[in-house]
Amino acid sequence: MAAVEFVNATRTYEGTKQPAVDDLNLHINDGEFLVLVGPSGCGKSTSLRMLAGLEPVDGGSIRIGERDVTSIAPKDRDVAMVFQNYALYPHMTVAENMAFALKIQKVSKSEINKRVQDAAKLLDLEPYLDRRPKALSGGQRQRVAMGRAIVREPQVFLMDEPLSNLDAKLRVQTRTQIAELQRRLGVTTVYVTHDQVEAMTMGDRVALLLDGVLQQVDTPRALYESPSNAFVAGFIGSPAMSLVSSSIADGNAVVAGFPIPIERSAINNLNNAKSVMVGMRPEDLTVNAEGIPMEIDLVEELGADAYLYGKTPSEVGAPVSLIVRVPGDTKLTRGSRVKVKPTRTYLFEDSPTGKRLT
Amino acid sequence: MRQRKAPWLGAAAALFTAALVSASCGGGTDTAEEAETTTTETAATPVTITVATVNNGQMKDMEQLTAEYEAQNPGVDVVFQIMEEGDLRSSVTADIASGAGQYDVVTIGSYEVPQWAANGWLTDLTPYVGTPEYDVDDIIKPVRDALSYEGQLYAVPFYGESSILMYNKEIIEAAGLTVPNKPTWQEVAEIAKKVKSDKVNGICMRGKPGWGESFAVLTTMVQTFGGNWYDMDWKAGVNSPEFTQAITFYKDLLETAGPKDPLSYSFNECLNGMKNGDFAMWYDATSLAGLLESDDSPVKGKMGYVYAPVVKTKNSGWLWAWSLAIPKTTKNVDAAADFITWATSKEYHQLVGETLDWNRVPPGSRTSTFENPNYKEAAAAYAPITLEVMSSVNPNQPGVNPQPWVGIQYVSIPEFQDVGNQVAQLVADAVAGRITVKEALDKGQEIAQKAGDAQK
Amino acid sequence: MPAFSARLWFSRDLREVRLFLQKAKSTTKKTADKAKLKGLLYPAVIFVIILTQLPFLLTIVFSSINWNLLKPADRQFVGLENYATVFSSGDLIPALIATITMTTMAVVSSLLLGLLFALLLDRKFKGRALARTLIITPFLVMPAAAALSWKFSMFDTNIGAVNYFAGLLGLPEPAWITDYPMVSIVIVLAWQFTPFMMLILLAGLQSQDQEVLEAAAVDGSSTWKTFQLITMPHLRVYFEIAILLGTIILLQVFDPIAILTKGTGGTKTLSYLLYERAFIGLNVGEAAAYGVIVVVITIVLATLALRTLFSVFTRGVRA
Repeated sequence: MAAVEFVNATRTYEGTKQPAVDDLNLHINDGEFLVLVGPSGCGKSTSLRMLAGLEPVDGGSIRIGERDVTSIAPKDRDVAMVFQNYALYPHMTVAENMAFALKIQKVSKSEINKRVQDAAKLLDLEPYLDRRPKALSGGQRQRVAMGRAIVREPQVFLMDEPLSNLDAKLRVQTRTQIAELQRRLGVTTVYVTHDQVEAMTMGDRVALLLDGVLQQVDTPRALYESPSNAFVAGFIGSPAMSLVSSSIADGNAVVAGFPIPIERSAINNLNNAKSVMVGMRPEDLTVNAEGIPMEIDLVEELGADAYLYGKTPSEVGAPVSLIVRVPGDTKLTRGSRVKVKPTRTYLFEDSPTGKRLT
Repeated sequence: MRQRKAPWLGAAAALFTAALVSASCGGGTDTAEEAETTTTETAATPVTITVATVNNGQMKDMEQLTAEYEAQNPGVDVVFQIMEEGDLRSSVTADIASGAGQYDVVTIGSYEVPQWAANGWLTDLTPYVGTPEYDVDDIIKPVRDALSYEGQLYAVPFYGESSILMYNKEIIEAAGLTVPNKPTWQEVAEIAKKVKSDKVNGICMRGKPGWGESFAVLTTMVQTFGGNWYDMDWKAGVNSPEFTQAITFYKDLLETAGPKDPLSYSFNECLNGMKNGDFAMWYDATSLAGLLESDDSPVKGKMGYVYAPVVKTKNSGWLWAWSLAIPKTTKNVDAAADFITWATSKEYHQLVGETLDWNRVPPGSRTSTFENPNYKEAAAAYAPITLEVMSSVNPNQPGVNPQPWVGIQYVSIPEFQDVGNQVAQLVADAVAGRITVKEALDKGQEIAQKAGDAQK
Repeated sequence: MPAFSARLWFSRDLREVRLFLQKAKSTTKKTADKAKLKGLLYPAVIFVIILTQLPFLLTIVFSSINWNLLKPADRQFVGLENYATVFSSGDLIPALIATITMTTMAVVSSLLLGLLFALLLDRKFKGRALARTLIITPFLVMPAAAALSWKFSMFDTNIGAVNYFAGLLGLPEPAWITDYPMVSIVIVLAWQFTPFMMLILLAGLQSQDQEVLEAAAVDGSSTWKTFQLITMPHLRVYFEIAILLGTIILLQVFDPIAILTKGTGGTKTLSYLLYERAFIGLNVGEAAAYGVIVVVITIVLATLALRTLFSVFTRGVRA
């Protein structure tokens, strides 16, 4: 077990100008579960593969524990990796798959047996030890891939979207199991996903990347509560925060004709800009006599809660999308017009990755 | 295995069906033939003559010049099927043996003529060659003898060849040596050993195993050493002291002064070697002299030509003639005979010389050609010796003792190509040192005797 | 109205079809119908059997006849005499040994070289497409042309490239055809068949999941270990195919023997022997007997070889 550190780590693919990972600085504590999240092409997998040694580091360095591993071969990094498609050895049985790394390390036969048995027990794989990967279901294969990593007892676990090939129900179930397992084993883990729910539910901390650049790294709570920019705000949270580009008039941000007061501190940060990005989470909007006019397109009933998906009417300017959380017993239906009032707003500079103003 | 088997199986099946068809037609043949003859004579229906021939230069020239013949003989269409030697032999054999009759004229070697004549497969050409214009006596006598069976002529020679010793004058003279006009093998061996150096080998001889390859050379050697394949009672003599002596001599000569990789050498390799100046001497066919004297040859004019080396006999040259014959199965005997007498006539030789090149006149068939001033000039270097050698060899008794067949470097029995080939392979193993000469020839004797027994 | 009735008729027709299909699904009906359908296949099957087996049956017939093409008068039925000649001639066993030796040496050497080139071409480098094309060319050369060019431009003791380079390196310059006939032929065959083996193995290498190789690397496996433990087992099937196809093709080799050695020095394989009997011996009966024996031996050997070979492979993976 060890801490992991990316220091100005950069990777540029041949034939491209824009680095896939640009000057990444990231410290992962010993025993921590860190999730790398972001839309596809953001550089999260590349970062993970750089850490595994499968991708060269073009600039900066990477450290695992006390060791600078920047130019060390993958086989000598003492990391274990779970791949998106599991990458099981097709001609080996489940037991052989799990024992492979240990055999290479020349661990004694009895020790290998013990570790494989333990892992199989932990992952409910005991009945399948003599099967080939071909004869297993998707979930079982995923567990073998996990088992192969666990028996290693490595310094770091690397997981590259390990749940993306499972069906939804199994995904939720396995998500919990992995998080639990990691806490039990206490091995530093770097986990890559494009699914922010996975990120939020599993990670001790979450690092959010966009276009190769680290946007913010923090605990799920903190990311949700205080996103550092508009992109983070929009990415974290489900349903997503409604982000509306608004003009400024008399110290207010005007959303579809409805003025939202801007705090003094934020005004100072505005630097005389003419517009601002207003962010409103669904739970921070309430149906009210006064507020932003909204025409409902869809009512998503989830039981306890319901979400209203809609847009501002076109009479009051270009329509903007809004999502509002309401109690589950709402009588509102598609087509109704309501007014919603924000109880809390986030203000950002008016760009997709605009900096937080308040 | 499957792929190799397929072609011959196919051929065999075709043969089989052909045999069936011809058998079933047997009853009506007479009338059909009569009808055919009448129509040919009265209405001059176009006649097509199919000629099977071998793929070499002179035959291609014939194909080209046949246009002249067709112009002179309206209504006659001559079609050529040109094949490699091996294919020609098997396809013609299969055609005639099965009576399929697709060829009106076939090109065969002197080896086949007496055998096929004996089988009754060939038309007796004697009635067709008696005209003064054709002048059959002009054909070199040993060649005529080789193509005759029981006194009758069964094929006419398109071109003929014997064997001679060719040498590079520059190399021999530089070594201060001379090659006698009628050398013995011992003299040749002496010279070969003397001129042998790092750059030049003494002598090139065919070593590639095969009855028509190494054993064309070897049979003439065996005969001049006093041995032979069979005696008058068809008793094989392959492990006789004389046969053994000849083979041992050949092996020693190759080892001391021959090509480094002897088993890969046949006449093509020797020809290249001679042109490169890699060899001082070469014992092979007279027809190859023309190639050494051709315009693109670097040794043109530098070569000397003498009689084939001898030991106990006076002459040791072989005799081969690619000849035209008419299978019995043809329905156009007269037209075919007219064509082959044209293709082997003096007139044809004149035609080749005038329209193509005097160097390309088919050599070694007619004495008169050697007297033609144009030919004499074009082939000055080798024409006289070719004629001399060809006129002096004796296919009836080439060796010391009489033999029950006509032919020099082969035995005119169907089994010979097989026997010759197998013995050639054994001798090749002896040359390579894998077995001794004695082992090779003892085994060869068994093989040869089996074939000999079949002749009694 | 006509349009309507047509539709009615059509829909009724469809319903009937459906009903028929439903009935056909019931087991008794199904087997009966299937049997009827199968009956329709027989003419085609019989035709194929005749087409493929007739030549072989004819060969068996020929093998019982004393038939030399040059002796038409002596043709007669002789029963098993041709077989007796074949077994007593002493040519069969050496030919069998020559065939097995030549095929084994050629398959093994072309397979190893093929693997080497496949591994090279599996890497990314500039000009890879060109290199691949160049490496494939020997396989596209006609066998006879290949043998001829080796004879004249490679093995020739005066002007051949092999001895030229051997001379430059101070190595012995052997008389290839005379002293090493088997090796010479195997070299030509290996040269020709390396691309064939390479193509199959390269297909195997390129079908390998890159993630699996990465997984092995992360699992601490060196390049060599990964090749040994992951790539080789993955290539097993491809090796089997390459060996099987290569053996079948190489068993039939003829041209290089005819051109280089003429069957001397232990290179007279079954196919060359068969050719000699048929085309030089012109003995149809004896050649046919050889043909039959060769087919029987090939079937027996192929079955044995395949079984042992494949079981060795399967065990090898389990272990």
